[in-house]
Amino acid sequence: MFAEQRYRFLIQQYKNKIYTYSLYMLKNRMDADDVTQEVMIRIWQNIDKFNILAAKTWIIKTTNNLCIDYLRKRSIAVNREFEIDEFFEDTYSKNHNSENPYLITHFKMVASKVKEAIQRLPENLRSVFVLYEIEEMKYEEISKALDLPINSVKVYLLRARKKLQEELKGYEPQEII
Amino acid sequence: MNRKKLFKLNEEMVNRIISVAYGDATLADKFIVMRATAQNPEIRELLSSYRQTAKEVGVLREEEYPDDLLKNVIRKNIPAFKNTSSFLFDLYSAVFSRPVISAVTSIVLITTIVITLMVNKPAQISYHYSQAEINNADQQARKAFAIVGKFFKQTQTTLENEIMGEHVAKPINNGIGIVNNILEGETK
Repeated sequence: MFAEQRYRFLIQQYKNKIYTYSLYMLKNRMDADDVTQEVMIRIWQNIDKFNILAAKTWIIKTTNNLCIDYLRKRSIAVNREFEIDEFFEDTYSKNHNSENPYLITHFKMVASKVKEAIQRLPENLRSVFVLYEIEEMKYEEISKALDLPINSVKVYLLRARKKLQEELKGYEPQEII
Repeated sequence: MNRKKLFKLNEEMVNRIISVAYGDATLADKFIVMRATAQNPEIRELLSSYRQTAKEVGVLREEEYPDDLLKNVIRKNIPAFKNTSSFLFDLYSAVFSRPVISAVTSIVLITTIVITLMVNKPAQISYHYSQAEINNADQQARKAFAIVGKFFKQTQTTLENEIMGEHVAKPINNGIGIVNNILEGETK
């Protein structure tokens, strides 16, 4: 009963989280679309089985597992580790009201560089970083979703931040303006 | 000596700097890093660099999953939703799937119901009768009951004397007489 309502609620709540995580993990829009679609189908198939309050962890865990499957399949087929992130929407510029075209271009380029740098992080660091910094999940939620001890989550996050800093070291955003 | 060691740029200090830059450090760590930045320009520079990155990461938002893609996925893959009209889907999305709108709608509905009940509350009517009126009503009620009682009595008399005797008891007696005659004939 009310399965449809629960499903719609969950989809509205988590569709962007699933999609964002898939995009950062897979670095490919089509694969991210496929994973998002697959997760949505699985949510519907399990709508009566899981607790709606614990849905977030379940959904992210499912998304992560599917992303890992995709990455494994892909590593067998072709090595696409350093793809350019042309598939990201301009969510950065949408969040800034500036009408100055130079500033908009600058923000877009900075966002693009940061996203690229995040994508270059190793898989285990990237997943923790995206969940914590972009999806704003708590340590405990990440720990449950990725089946990692909380201390490992903290260590991975710290390593990811250091690695990201190294990746962005040579990049000077001020030069663009 | 210890103080100098405390503000040295070692692994522990770098970790503290990162936490402070990303805004999730403890109060003690914040205090140590602030003191260290005042003493050590290298630490100040590193903190500034990490803060810049944290700021750039902080403005990144979740990617929007396109609504048309979502509708297609749902209609194509989930049979229960195939017949759902677009209007209902949109209405649901607009009202029920957003907790804030849903809460506001519920509050408005409940408030409307409460106000309607309060406004249309039935007025309590109070009756005031004199003793004479009560006595008069009592007498009229007695007369009415007497008339009804008389009718019941007449009906009872008619039932006992005419209907039961003539139309019920007599045919039964006749029937029993016939049966007796038949049985007597058989014994002979």
